[in-house]
Amino acid sequence: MTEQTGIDFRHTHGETGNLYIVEYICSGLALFDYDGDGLVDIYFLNGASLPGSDFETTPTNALYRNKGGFRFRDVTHAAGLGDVGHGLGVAVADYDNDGDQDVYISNFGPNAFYENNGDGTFTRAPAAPLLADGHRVGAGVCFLDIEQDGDLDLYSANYVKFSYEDHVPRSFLGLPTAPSPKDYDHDADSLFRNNGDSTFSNVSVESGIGRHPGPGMGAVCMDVDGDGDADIVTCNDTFANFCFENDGTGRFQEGAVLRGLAYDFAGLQQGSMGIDCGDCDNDGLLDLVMTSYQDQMPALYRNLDGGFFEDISPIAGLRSVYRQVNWGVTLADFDNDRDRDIFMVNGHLDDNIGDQDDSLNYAQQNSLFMNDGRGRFTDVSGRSGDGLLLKRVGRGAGFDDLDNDGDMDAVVLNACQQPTVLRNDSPRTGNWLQVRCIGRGANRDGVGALVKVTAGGTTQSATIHSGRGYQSDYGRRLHFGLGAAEVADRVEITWPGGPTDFVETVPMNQVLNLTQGR
Amino acid sequence: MGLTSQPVASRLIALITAISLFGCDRNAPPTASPAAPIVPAPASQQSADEGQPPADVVSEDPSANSPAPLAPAKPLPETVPALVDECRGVMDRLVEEFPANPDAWEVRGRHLYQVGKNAEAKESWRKCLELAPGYVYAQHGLGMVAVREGDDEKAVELFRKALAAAPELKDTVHELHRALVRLGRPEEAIDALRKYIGQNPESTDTWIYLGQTYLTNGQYEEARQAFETANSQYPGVARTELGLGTALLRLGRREAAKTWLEKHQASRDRANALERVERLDEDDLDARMREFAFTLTTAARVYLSQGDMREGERILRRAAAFDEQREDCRQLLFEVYQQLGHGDLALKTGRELLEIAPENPNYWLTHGTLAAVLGEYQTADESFRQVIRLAPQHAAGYSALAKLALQTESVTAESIDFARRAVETSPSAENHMVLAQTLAAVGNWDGARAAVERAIEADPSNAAYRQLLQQIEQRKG
Repeated sequence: MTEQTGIDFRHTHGETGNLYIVEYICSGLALFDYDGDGLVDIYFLNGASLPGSDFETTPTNALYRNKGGFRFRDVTHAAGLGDVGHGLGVAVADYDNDGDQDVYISNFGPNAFYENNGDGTFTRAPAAPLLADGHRVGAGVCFLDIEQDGDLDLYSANYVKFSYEDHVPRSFLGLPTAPSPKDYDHDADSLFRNNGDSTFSNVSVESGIGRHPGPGMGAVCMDVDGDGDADIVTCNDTFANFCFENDGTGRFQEGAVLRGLAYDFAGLQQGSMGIDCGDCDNDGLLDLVMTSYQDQMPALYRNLDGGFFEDISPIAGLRSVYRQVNWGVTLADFDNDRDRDIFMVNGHLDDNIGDQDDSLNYAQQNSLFMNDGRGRFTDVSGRSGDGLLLKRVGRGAGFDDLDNDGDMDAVVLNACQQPTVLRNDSPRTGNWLQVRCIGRGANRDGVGALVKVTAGGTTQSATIHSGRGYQSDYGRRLHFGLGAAEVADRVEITWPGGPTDFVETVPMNQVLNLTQGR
Repeated sequence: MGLTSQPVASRLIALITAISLFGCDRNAPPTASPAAPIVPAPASQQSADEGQPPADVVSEDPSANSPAPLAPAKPLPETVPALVDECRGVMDRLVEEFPANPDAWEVRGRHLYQVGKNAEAKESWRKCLELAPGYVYAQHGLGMVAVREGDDEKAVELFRKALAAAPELKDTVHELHRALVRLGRPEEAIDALRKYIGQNPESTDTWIYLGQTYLTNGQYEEARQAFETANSQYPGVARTELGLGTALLRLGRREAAKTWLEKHQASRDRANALERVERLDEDDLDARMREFAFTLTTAARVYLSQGDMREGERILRRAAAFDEQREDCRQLLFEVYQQLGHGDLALKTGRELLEIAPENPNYWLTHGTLAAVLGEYQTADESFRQVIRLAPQHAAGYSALAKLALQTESVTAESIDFARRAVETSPSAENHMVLAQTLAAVGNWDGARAAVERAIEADPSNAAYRQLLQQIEQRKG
């Protein structure tokens, strides 16, 4: 679809030829409704001009307004979101509860924070200088309410400590290759507490978050241990993943090894890239999927209840991407059959990988795995339309209903290429319900809320996230496939902090707006 | 004075042939540790397989390779492409010269796999299998290509075929297990691992894989037991500790689990720190030279087995230059130099082996034996004493010193004591004979007679022993 959409964005990672570690990791993207018109817009992060780059015009991030009918228009300049930093991660949320979506971008270099003016334009937020967070290599970003005070705090993962002087050139068989995060000192992540007055405080150290250096990439927030607060799970690249467990007051303890989230099923440190959270077997417990490097299985961490997880990827059927490098990912119901499928974005690091190993390619097909309803998956990429046959160098990705037709579409940011925009043209076999939550007391976006939809004898669960996948953000409006069910018998929402609302007998095929307490 | 003296050269050959005398094969193939190399060991280092000629047979006909000046040493390649070209040239020449030799095609396939030329590797291994349908390493290699191609079903079929003929191939067992796990068939993976462990219960890494696969299969108590075994064999491994912690956690023993997981974190942190340091010194050219030294050594074995000692020597020398720590190429060079009559070079190579592995008694023994042949008796004496230091429970060092004394006609009370110690540690016919000879050398005819009678008891058909007995009786008479 990309050519017909009007999207002419082309990503760059700097293209210096030096293979700096900040280049090949590339960028995420955000899908969000920046102008409140009910249509999901697209915000692509972009790399910057680095030493050795040769660009005629300065690369910037790009915002495309959704005009409907799968047509988009570049509004970057008008909106003021053309950040020129070396963009890596992004999260979007209404941090000041004023009814619009603000944007935080993690860069290689100072991070950027843009406040939505409510009129389709953005300006640097007052807290931007603090939230710039020095000059680091950023990664996944999440807004979350760490102490359930009704405003959203900010978690920003960091990757490694890098400067051009520290660049480690690597080669294999004499061919230049990407360096590894193992070649650098790891960096600790950052946490900023929202003071409720448009200012933030850096609480990285006292919260415990900043005490754990690791090569962070994608991150997602969820209630890992079932104690009602938001915890953080962060992918680490070639290192044990992190699970920061919140004590409810915004103090965190890292416990991924105990939780079973640090390693893959074989006890190995993965090159973990992207992450998403969802209930893949409809048992009411949120599971996690994590993408990984070549010759590693992506991890599918099944929630065993009690806050413990086990990687079931071998028996879940995710083998077919073993030889690929996976990045963006989601657990979403692409065929509206009441279970969550997996979309995985693939693409190698090294553009010469075919010379290193002639069974591999730099550009790779993305993968779609269909869920059989019991958490077992089948790779259907080869029979899911020509959009899944394209070979590109994928990185960040977002998933949402871009044309409001009741199914999940996909947008993929490709390294140094045009993006891939995929419209879901699946035959309409299932009904659906989309749920948009508006907090009053809780944060306005409802980030952290747990929504349960019961229909046709099945209860599906999902959490509202701000920041997920590979350093991306998407899916603020929750999507539930209902299958043949004509109504959702019950929709229940547990807001951050505890109160639960519900509605019953909800008609299918609509966007349900749920306001807290009403 | 010794009455009979077995020719030293023939004793030398006997000692060299028994290079694994002590059962500590320092030159073993890269073991499949959790981060194991994927290519199996060369044919010569695993048990023989039908249809697969032993590749390390050095020609017994030195006349075909007359002692001649050896090719001058070439400078090391300065770039990886130059290195790759050179090794590719060796492999292509090998199959040109020996197109009907399956070993040649097998090692060529292995090299091509190393440099990522999977399609060509596959062709080479297929050619090998045409020539020797039961060649297990070619089957393993094709299995590895199938893994790279994402065809785990095919890989499983090939690994199973290889293991049916050679169940002792540990790397193949582990690869089979991995492929089965990826295919979501943990029960079959468990079966494969258990079968191997049944014959090789000391294989710690196999126990670790077994424990992990039990975990995947939800058999937590079995997993715990497997990890316990691994830990008892080789404590302090991060993955074992993680496995134990995880199994205990699943079994509801949370406090015990925490203890193991804490241990695991400490072990993992140490391993990560070590890896970081090692990466600082990592160099593509050095790493590839070390990797290719392995395939070059295997290629050289083919030349040697075909009687081309000089080309074999040239390639082995190259392998040794590529990897200063590699032992197998030097072991072969040690033999080849002797066969070619270059004792000085053999001795030099022996010294290199001792520098690489100074605690290997085999190397001291062969080094000392060669020194004795070359008349460097002091060196021989020192070497044999090192053998005794390193392997005091073994007869070889005592026996060698006693024999040296006989050879140099300098039998003393200490020499006789060495001969007695040899008999005590290994009461073989030969050791009784050596004792008899040393006793005879000092005129202890009764003792000599008793000893040689023991030798005859152990080996009644040995004419030399009877001859010594006659001589003793004559002298005593």
